[in-house]
Amino acid sequence: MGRAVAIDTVLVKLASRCNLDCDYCYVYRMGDQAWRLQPKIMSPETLEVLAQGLAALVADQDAPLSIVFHGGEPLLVGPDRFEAACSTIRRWLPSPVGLHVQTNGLLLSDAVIDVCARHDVGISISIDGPAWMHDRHRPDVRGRASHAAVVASIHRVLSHPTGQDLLSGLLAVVDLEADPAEVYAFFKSVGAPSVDFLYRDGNHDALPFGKSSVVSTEYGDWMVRLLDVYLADPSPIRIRLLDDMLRLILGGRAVKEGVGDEDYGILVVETDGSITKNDTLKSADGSDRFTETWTVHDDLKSIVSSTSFLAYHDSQKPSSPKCLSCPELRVCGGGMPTHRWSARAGLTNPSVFCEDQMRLIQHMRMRIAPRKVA
Amino acid sequence: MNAVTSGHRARAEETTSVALDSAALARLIAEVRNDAVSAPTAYNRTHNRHNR
Repeated sequence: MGRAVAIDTVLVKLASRCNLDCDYCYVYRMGDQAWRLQPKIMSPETLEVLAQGLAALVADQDAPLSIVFHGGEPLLVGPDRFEAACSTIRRWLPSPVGLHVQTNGLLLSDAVIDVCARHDVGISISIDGPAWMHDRHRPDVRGRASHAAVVASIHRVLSHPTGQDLLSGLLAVVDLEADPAEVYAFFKSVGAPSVDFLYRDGNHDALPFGKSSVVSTEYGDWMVRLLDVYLADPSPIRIRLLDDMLRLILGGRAVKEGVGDEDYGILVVETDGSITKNDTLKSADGSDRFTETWTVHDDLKSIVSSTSFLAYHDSQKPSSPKCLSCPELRVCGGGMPTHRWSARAGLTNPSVFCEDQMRLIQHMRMRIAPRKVA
Repeated sequence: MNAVTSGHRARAEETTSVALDSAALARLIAEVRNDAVSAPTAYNRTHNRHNR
């Protein structure tokens, strides 16, 4: 057994199915079919064993830990099972261990919000922007629009007595055809304290939607426009990706996966209790599985100290010669592993968004630097 | 304060006079100076980097 990887985030797949059918989903729409073999929901027994194992792991590491209920759509378990799940986690892992739910918002009822308040569960809601763009990518499984229900849920959370603390933020996927100013204005209009943006998933063998080549900068151009709107706003909300990159340029720290050079450790637990790699690797030819068949019934410390887990952990760090010699690596961080993947070279590539990130970083530096001499 | 943190703060101070015409940048500069990553009630009030 080698050094143990410090785990900072555990994604717990409470449900393996979803009530939305997003056209860009890395779980259901990018070729990997492993979800079909998973139980629809995680059993209470599996969650109990997981919580117990995580408590032992936390006691043995210095790093803080956050647990994220995830899916699929985690709230498909229903409010009663969700309450039981929160109770189980909190019995073994009380605050300050972080507990969050990442939800599409459709089932975010008052009862569920109350559960979150009782158990100190941060709520993050996925919504892409105004209705016209959200609904063309995020219909429900019957093809119906979901935007109005999601916006209603955001307002429901914010109107809760502790809603401002409960709402961790909103999560959007970039739509290159949308005007960044319109998207930003929408997020301000719903009262969101913060929003994060994800790029469409892809890799060197299947470029992300909207990218014409690995050297094109469609996403970088879009983010530059968003940045300019953001920096011009006299009362801005927070944009996590931009904040993290700007903070790194200013000499500070970041927290987002794939940005900056801080180490990070993630465990992903499927509904059957099996432990997998970073789940976004599903979109990279299903390469999110370990050779070993680890489950929550195994000793978690032994898992995160194993040669195989260490190799996986190290593989997440940028390794291509271009990245290793790049002067912006400390800001860029090399991007998410799944965006570096190719069948030929595995993860030893720059991100498919390399040129986009360089475009954005250069623009950030330009927006900051002239003022330094003032 | 370790050398890295000290360096970060020095860079933030160097930039302080810089970008106060941008509210977002002014906030970020203050966060870097205070060695903070975000306000306690913001999206990453705990260590949740894998938000997707």
